[in-house]
Amino acid sequence: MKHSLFILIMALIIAGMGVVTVMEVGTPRVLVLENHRSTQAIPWTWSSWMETTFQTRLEEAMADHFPGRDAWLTSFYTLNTTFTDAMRFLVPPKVYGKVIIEAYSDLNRVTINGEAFLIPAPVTMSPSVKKQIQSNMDVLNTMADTLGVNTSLYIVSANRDTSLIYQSFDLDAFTSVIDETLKIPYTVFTVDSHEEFLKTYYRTDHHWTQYGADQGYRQLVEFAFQEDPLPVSQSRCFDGIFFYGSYSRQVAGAINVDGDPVCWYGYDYQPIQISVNGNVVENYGGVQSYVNQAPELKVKYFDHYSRLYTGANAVVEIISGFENKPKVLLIGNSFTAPIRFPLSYHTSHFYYFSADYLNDTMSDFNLAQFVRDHQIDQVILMIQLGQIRQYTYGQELKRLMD
Amino acid sequence: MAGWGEDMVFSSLTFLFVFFPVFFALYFLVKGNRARNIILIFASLLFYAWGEPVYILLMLISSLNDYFFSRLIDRVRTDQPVLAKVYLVLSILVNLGLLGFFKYADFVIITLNAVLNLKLTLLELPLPIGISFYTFQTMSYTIDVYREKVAVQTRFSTLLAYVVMFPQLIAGPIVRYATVEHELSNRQPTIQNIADGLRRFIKGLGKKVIIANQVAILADAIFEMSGSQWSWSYAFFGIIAFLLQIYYDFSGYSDMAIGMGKMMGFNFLENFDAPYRSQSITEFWRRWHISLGTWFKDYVYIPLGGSRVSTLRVIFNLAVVWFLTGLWHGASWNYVLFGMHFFIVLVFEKFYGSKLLEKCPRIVRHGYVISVLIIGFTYFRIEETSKILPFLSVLLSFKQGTGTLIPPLLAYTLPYVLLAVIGLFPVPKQLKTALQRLDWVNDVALIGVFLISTLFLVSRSFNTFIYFRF
Repeated sequence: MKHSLFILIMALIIAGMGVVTVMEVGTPRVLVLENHRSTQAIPWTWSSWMETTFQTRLEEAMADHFPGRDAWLTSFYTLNTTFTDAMRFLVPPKVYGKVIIEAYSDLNRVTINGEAFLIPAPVTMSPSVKKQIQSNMDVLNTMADTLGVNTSLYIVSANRDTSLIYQSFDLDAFTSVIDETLKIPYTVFTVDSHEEFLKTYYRTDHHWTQYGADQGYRQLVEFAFQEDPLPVSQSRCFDGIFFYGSYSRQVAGAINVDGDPVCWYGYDYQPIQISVNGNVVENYGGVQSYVNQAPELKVKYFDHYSRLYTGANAVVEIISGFENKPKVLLIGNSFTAPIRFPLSYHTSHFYYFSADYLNDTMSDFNLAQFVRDHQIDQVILMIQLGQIRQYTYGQELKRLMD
Repeated sequence: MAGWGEDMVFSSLTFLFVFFPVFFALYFLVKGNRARNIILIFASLLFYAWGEPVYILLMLISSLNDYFFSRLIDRVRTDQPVLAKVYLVLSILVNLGLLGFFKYADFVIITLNAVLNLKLTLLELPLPIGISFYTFQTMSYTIDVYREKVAVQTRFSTLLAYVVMFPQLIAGPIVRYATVEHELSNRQPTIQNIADGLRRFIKGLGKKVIIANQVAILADAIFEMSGSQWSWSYAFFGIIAFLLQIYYDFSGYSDMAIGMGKMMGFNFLENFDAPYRSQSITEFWRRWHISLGTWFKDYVYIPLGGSRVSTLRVIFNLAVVWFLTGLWHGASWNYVLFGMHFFIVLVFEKFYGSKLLEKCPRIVRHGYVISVLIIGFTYFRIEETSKILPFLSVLLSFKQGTGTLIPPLLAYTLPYVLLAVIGLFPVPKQLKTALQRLDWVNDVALIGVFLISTLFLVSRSFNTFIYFRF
């Protein structure tokens, strides 16, 4: 190739991509594949320059606005999965009855009765994991003592936390550590058959489906309130809409697993008042606000789970109108989203927030003071099994108490 | 904290798609080398200040130091040779002082605390990026002025352009002033040089981003294991992966530097010459990081007497050189062990081993070299000296360990390892001749390498919102 032609081609590629990036860098956009807003550059000042925050933010903004970013990412992960598949003789699939596990570096592709799921590797017990669980359980014990009200723990097994998929996973190894340390009542949500597993968890996301959430709600009601759960009064699935969740995004869609249909359950009960982040809302857990977001709903990687349930991070207060029922505080995370509304039926006042969200938004919050001020009768902590071994979980709860 | 930022590196989107095209557009637009040198200086200072806004002053101090002392040396050398020598020594002391303080202060403190049971507080100074390179460059300039190998540069901007030019500023090669003396004032970029330089740059980018970074994933995963987790096979794979990683990383950077230099009209010397094809360690160090080896030869080994002295003195000279070479690589005892390991092997080869090697078949010579490199670069890779012996004992005793490597990690990095190994072999003559006839194939492949490198660079910024941890 002539030297000048080679230079011209490279100049067009480099300058073309560079110009587009620079022109776009000031325009905010939502990175659907990564489920966050693009980084925005900050204005240049001497201090931002000397602290190199200007440079760091500019580089991040440029990367976020690089032309065709999603296509580049998908291509990269496709290359990696192609290499892994080509080397499959080194990593042959593991077959356990109905379950076939094909390992990739970030996630496993698990086929159960012909249906494929993306599931991370299992968590295994080790001395360091045991130590961390004990530490977190101690935090819960201290919290319960400080609050002085009925406090309990509801643990939800995620899709990786089951011997139905991973024969090496041993739930008893975790519960025995909890039994040794935890002084408050607890129960664990699990599935006991492959058929239930298929209905309970999303194929490409870490959350449970609406069916799984309803099953979890039922178990929690029986454990915490000794009442009958609300029956499902409406069930609606959305035609032509498929949910590609966090695991699919994690590998930029490179591992071939179908999306899930998006379904919603309604529960027939009308509370007196619902507030979200201090603002009274007409609808909570209702489907209309979700439907109003069409045509975005058909965009691949649209975050259906969060949008269907009015946001994962919020401070929610629901006044049911049943004055003879207890006042309950639920501290949890996005897993609680589908069940907050029906749970409020079993309370007179229902409060929900996540520990890390509150710590980030209200630095002067004190949980004991909140419990006293609102005359809370019962506190329920709801977490996934994987969280009980995380250092950050205990730290966030401690910050709530500080 | 100022000075702790992320440096701008060649293998980044900002550099490739903004800095690089803007710089070269301005560089080629202006006329005359003085104007080009000014553009080069400002661009290089911006490049350096991107990650080190404060320590840019150190680089300027080092440059000013050698500018003034070299001029003083030139003024007095004829009438006052002793004073010229004093100026030389002062200039070197300033450079070594800067290097010693910022790079080695905590190393000295840690060693004193350990040996003398003191409790001195560490200074915890961030390491100014590139300080090992630019101090060696400025020192070489002043020494060469003193030795009358180069003419003193009276224009500070020209000298500064030599010191700070960004292609070789932070990762070498260590460019001697003599190499670029003429070109600093008399260069003319040509279409051929720009094209060839760009080709070389892309080749280096591919070596770094596509091969080195991916092979590093495997090496890092193995070296993060410890103690009982290591097995013989993991240790062997890990160090081989590291040997590949460091070669492709370092030589890739050198290729990028040489390529950009060529685009600007500079002809830097080669820094790597197929080092893994060496048949002795002596040969290896003539092919690996050539600019560093020749620097120590010309400015330490030969002034100490080189090989033209008694056997004991030669051994002493080699010990000094290799102690310093090890220490140059890092302020930690494992790097000293790295240097001394090669000292021992080189002494062996110098006085006994080379004759023995000549009698051995080629494959034995290659095996010997790789074996020595495996042990030597183990010292380089493992900074915690307490972990070095366990690793080597596993490697040399074929022990089994308890650790498991995630098989998919091995699966998707293995193609890059294979590519890296294939890349070490010379291109067969017939294929080379055929490719020379079809030069467009080479250029299309390079365009492909650039696009694939971009793929890898974009993926580095991938950040799924990890809310699902909670």
